[in-house]
This record gives sequence, structure tokens and C-alpha cells, in this order.
Amino acid sequence: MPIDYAQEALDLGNLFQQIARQMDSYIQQNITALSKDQTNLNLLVTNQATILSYSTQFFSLGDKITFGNDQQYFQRVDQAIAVINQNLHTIQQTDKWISFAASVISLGLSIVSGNGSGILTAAQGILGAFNVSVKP
Amino acid sequence: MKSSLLCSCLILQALLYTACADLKGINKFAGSSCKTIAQRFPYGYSDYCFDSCYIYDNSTNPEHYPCDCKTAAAYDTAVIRESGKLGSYFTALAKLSGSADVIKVDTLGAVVTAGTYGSLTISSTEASVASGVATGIQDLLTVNFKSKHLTANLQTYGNAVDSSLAAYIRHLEALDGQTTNLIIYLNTRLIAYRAVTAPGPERFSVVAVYNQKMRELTGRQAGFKNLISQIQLIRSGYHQLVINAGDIRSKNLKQELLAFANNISYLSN
Repeated sequence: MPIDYAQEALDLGNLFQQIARQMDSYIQQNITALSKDQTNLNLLVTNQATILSYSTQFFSLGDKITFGNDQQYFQRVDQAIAVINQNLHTIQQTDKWISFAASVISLGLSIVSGNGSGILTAAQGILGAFNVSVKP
Repeated sequence: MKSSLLCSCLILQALLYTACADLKGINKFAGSSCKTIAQRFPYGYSDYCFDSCYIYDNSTNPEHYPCDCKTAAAYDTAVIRESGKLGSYFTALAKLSGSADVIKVDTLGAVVTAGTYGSLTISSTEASVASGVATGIQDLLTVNFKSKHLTANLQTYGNAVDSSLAAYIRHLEALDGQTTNLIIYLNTRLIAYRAVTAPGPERFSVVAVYNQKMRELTGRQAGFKNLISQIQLIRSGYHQLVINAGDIRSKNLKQELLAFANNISYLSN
């Protein structure tokens, strides 16, 4: 089945938005502790801004998200999307959020730059963060 | 003679009503759809550009002006043109299916009645013939010709219209997503700012401005989501219409389309 690129871009935009929204909730719920740890607060806020900027890029990409030989990459992205949707709520610690956000940013960068191997690595990192095994 | 003419008129009216009722669902649905599609964007790409350009602006360069929104305005124009084509299609569908044409036929029948029109006199025989011609025209336009025309039109252009509706919804969803990102961005910054800033007039002013902008964006976004819901209803209704293109006078289709039209009107109000 051919990839619906425009829909893929919308799904990615929504996924990154959902992650950013969840980070917003985490920051809000833990703001008392985070206000005493400005380094991590700043890091979370900065990472969330980066994730939002990727979300915005995906929303504006439409079907221009395509790049060569991308079938397998988008399959992996779709796997990552499903796993994130199921497990996002389980991240309840600042250090886990920071490392998860770094993987998500890496995924965003790889998709935008059309770096296939980067997509595979970043998606694997995301799946691994939730202890989900990857189908080859 | 008079009662016979009256009876003929009643039968003609009944025929007209029946023919009209057959396509009433399509007509009302198409009418609601073209009104919805023709309505102005509650929040366009230009609006988004003028909001996002300074909210996301992190530049320290004083010469950098981030709010050049010419491209966004051009994009708005392109999307509006796209929606304009869809609007025209549904307007045509409404005309082909609808009351406007039936009224014309009805008016033609009504005009040609026995009596004196200035220097011209229409005899009852003439009126009766005209009435028959009107029935023929009505039959041609409203029943046979229009049904075939609509069916052929739906079968020929159904996929293209559906694809165009899907693309339009995607445009709107993408813009909605970007607007939501702005709100999330502002909200997180507000939380972080408030947590590390001492209470006082400065904090009050900043928080007030943030809240005002978020409220404004949320309000615009509500209107936008409403428009998306209406277009989605149009797409679903049109999908039903295309599926039933071979039987456009079915009662089930009529009921479904009337329900879609009512829901679209409800949301637009």
C-alpha cells in the first residue's frame, strides 16, 4: 500500500504535539520541585520548544515529507508512533523525560533531514525507552 | 371545465412536489455545504504568521524583522481558491438538484394560466397545453434529465470532489495543529516564568498578557475546530451521496442527507 505522505506528516505533527503537551502537563504538575532545579526546568522547556518546532514543521510539510526509499523508515516511524501513544503517560521522572525528549528530537531531525539510518536509530531508542522489542 | 383545470393544477403541483421532494435531501445538503464552504476563515495562515512570528522570535539581532507574512497571505489565497472551487461545485449541485429549478418550472406553469396579460390573452386551451408542456419540462428537468445528470456527475467527479474535500480538511487541520502548538508553547513558558519570578507588578503584567493571548488564540481555535467539523460532515454526507449515486431518489439517502444538512446548519449557527 502506498504511503499517504500528507497524512503521515499530519500524524507526526500530532504525535510531536502530544508529546509537547504531555511535557507541559509534567512541568505544571511538578513545578514546585522544578522551580528549585532551574537547570532541568530550562532543559525541559527548551526541549519542549524544539519538539513543538518539529511538530509545526510536520504540520506545514504536507506531502513534501517524502524522501527516497522511505517505506521501511516510515514503517519504523509508525511503530514508534504506536508505542509512544500507548506509553507516553508512563514517563513520570524528570531525567526520563529529558532522555526521551532527546530521542524524540533526534527522530524529528532525522525525518526532516531525510536521514534514513538516523530514523531507524532514533525510533529504536524510543522503542527501547519503553522496553518494546523492535521487529526487523 | 374549471374543476377539471383545478384538478390538473393540483396533480401538477403534486407531481412537482413529489419530484422536488425526491431531491430535497441533496438540495438541502448541497445548499448547507456551499454556505459553509463559502464562510470566511476564522483564523488564516496570515493570522497565524502574525501571531507566531513574534511569539517564536528568539533573535537578538535588532535588524531582524520576523513578521514578513507575504507567503502566508499567498497561501491563504490558494486555500481560499481551493475552497472556492468546492463551494462552486456544491452551489451547482444545489441548483441541479433543487428547489430553484423546480420553482422556475412551477413559475412557468403558474404564469401560463388563462387570462389577459396586457394585450395578450391566454385561452384556457392554451393554458392547458402550456401546463402540459410545463409538466414535460418539469419531468425533463426535475426527474429524468436531472437525475441522470446528477448520477453521471457524481459518478464522474465524485472521487475528485472527495479528494479535494480531504485536502481542504488537511489544510485546516494543519493550521489548527500549528495554532495549538502556539497555545502549548505559551502555556509552558507562562508556568516556568511564574515559578521563578517574584510576585509583583511586573509578573502580573506579563502573566496578564500571556493569558490574554492564550484566551484569544483559544477562542479563534474554537471557531476553527467548528469549521473543520462542518467540512468533515460535508465530506461524510457527500460520501453517502456518491455511494448512492445510482439511486439518488431513495428515501434513506434523503433522510441521511437531511440529517447531515441539519447538523451542518446547527454547527454553523
